[in-house]
Amino acid sequence: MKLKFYFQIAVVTALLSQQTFADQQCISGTESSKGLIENLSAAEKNSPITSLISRRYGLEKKTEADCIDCEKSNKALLPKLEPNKTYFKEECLEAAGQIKAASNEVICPSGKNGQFRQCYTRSFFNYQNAVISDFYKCLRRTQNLPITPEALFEMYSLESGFKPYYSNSGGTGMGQLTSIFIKDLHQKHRGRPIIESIANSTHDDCEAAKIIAQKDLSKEPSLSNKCSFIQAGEGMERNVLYSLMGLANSWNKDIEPLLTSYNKKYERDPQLLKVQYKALINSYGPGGRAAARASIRRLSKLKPSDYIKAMDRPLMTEEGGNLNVYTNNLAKKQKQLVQFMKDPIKSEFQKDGARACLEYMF
Amino acid sequence: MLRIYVLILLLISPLLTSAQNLKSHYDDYQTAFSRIILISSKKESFIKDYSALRLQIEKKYQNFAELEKDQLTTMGNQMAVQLEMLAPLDYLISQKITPENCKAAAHLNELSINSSKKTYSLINQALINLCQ
Repeated sequence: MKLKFYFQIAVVTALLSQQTFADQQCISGTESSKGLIENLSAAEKNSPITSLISRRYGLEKKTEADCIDCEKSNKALLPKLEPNKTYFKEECLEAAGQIKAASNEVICPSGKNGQFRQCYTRSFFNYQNAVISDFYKCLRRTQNLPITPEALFEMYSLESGFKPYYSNSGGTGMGQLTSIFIKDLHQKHRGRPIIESIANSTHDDCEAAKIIAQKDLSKEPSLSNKCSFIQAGEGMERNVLYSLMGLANSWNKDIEPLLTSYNKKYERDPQLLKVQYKALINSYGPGGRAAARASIRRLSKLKPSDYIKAMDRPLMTEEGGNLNVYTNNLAKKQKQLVQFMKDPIKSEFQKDGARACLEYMF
Repeated sequence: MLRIYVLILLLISPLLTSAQNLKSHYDDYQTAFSRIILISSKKESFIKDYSALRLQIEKKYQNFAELEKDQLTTMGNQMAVQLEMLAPLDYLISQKITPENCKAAAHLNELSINSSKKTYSLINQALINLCQ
């Protein structure tokens, strides 16, 4: 009897340590480059943001919680905001983590540039999953943001393959942020009201995000200190928050005003949400504000099903520019992603796209 | 044989005429666009003429889009992006030309730097002239 008990304990311990070992194995990068993991361990001890998110999402032990549906948005097609639940499946994050999106890396806290091939592990992307899910819920509580988690999965896969340490002249961190993007969020006639709404939010879903928002309202962060947008504990989290606030800013100021009559005309069309988020996400890319808005001007003569298809095709100008450069790049990257997947997620992804990467359907 | 040629010509001539028609509308739009940039180089002409010319150019694009029907031509795409690049000047005409508003207009232009580098430079120069 006693022997059986000891045996059971030994099996459980072995299973747990195997899980821990798997969580710490490199999905990309080399075992010797542990900077990122050390970053996260330090953040777990010292950062109020990391402790809050880790506790909330039970990162060591997953918890199930009942849905508290107190969402104020009336968009039935957007996901319900369930506490403690993350959006992305591990298999998809693992595949996205194998994408090499840039050659230059920044190591924090030193801010040194180079090619370190940092070890990127499952425990790290589980934390990123929690950060994105938490901040997404906060943004949806405080803003009218017609974007689904699947679109975010596509966006971060393209921008950085979820690597927080990628940085080059084109952008920094997970969302590949640029100086003009950050500056735009701090302009009082553009994004500042969004930062203020998060800083002043009393909703539980904004508990972690508001720490960053409050801090940044008193002092605007700058990309001259890249670690403030990279390092786990505050920087990587700021990067995610800014990329989401940037989307909300574009929606409020640039995209929704142009789609007003289209939204009214097709308000009953189930494809309308997809038109909205495709039009919105196109503004995130390198094409710039005018190109994203011009794409809407051009395509709003099409009905939603045709509009969505047209967003995946180039819309070339006389000067050789492409008004749909970002949505075209997103579609290409999603095709590349399949090669890093295994069945059954691979076949699901080939059938449903990034929607197959969502932890739960809605 | 001659009949076949005539038939082909009859079939494609409306298409050629339509393409030529679109091109002439496009050229007309480009002339109007150059004019709007020109009047935006001086404060007096900008304040006096911008709003009327802006309406005209918008109308020219709408006419073009109607002629295009379901096509999405590169000319139409070019016109649409140029129209959108006028946002900083639209902003400035709706406000007073003050240093603060000039800064906000320049910021709007920066957001579209990659949409059309050529138009970005033209607007940038216009803003420098208007705000000096």
